[in-house]
Amino acid sequence: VSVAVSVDPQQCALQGYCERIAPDVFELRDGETTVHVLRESVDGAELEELLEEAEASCPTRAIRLAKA
Amino acid sequence: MSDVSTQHEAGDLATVTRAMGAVDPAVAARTRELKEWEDIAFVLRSKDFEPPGREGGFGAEWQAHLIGESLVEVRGDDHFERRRLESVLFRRDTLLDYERELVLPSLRREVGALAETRDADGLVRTDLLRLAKRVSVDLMTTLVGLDGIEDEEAISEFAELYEDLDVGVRAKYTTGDPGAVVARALDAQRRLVERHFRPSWQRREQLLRDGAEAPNDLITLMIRHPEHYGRWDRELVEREATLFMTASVTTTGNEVCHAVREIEGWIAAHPEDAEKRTDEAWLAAAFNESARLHAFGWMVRLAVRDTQLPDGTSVQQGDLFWLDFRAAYDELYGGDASRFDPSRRQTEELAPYGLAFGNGRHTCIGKMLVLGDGATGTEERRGTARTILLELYGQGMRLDPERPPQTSPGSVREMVESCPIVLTAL
Repeated sequence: VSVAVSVDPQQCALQGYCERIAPDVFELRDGETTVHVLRESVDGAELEELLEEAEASCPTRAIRLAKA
Repeated sequence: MSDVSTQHEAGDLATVTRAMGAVDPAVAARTRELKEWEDIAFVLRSKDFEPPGREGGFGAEWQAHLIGESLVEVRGDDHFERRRLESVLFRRDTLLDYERELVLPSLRREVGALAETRDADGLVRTDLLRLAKRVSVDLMTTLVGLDGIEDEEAISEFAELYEDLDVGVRAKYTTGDPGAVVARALDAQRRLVERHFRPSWQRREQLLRDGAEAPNDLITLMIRHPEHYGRWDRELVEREATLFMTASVTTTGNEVCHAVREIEGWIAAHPEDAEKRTDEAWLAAAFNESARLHAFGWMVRLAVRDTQLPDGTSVQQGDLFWLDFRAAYDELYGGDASRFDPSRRQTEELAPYGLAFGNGRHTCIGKMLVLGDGATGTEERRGTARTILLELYGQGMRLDPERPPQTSPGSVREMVESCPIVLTAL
């Protein structure tokens, strides 16, 4: 199963919780107003678990996951 | 009680604090009011500002007796850790289960029972606030892990204590004496802890000791993570449960009632939209617009370190800021921002529900529980609010023309006290 990852720019408040949980996928970058998604499609159960944790931990619920 | 239609929640500091019972005039006088969207968005998102807690500010010190250091108040790394631990209760699949396995069956059970209570004219009348709260209680007891609130006697006993607790948690909004409402709430909290929280905690501790499967709820989570919850006093777990109890019941009931009042008012003025009552996308837009108007008109934030506002204005640690959401809506939407308009053209800066759930680190944790996956009405998860609206409009819900909705005069927030409805198709 692959998971498509995106971030809603209207919701993202740059709190960085996703980066702390899944640094291989999310990165805060100076000057950007939305967290940067390093990998827009992710495979593998371990990373999927982390992504679900990041999605549910995001204070503004800005992360969108779509399983293909 | 007051007729809802005569009220409109203000957003500016002077108007609101004139009515607040918990405000210290000296604190209000030294508070800076922010009205521009850029400043408000910055403060809500910045790590340099937090909700005031025990240090006080507009009644937060009263609220802290009941929910101090709970998720809405905990700061910095502790907040990250708490949010991460509790995220297990808010996973996508879990939320979908709450909605489909709990909320909908509970609502259908209640509506089914109402069908047996027709008035002499053959119509079914009930109170939407009571109904929405009843459904939310089923969800809340599962989410928190409170056992034994299942039969009608236990539910009614719980509801009585819950009302006192809820008013106390919102002490900062009272127009009366915050000390009195908090004293009543502390008594209700103590009784709820003795009757429901502690036995439920002990039951789960035993399950875990026996190696049995314990339910996925807040109490189990707190037992499993003493390394986090044990960092505060022993009562923190009770305050955390109190937050979850009050946040998940009252908010949904209040916002659903406001939405129905606004929708019915709109349709009275736009009869051509009458069939949209069961159009899911339209209902989503209507609920979002109503939540924007009624959930919060303002918020207070405390600077937790020296910093600057976007225009370079310096801020000292301990400074308090009043965020006037209504002024920001006027700036973003133009002069008619305070008018309900489900077809309102949206802006890129703001979600359709505005700041109804806050923004930044302390965005309401139940946001997706209430809203579902999004705002367009096409998502898999509808959220509790849309689930209730769709189901009841499917039963021909209308406001009771004989008894208009009422709000509490005891709160500076628009807290609904009753919302009589008729289910014309049941």
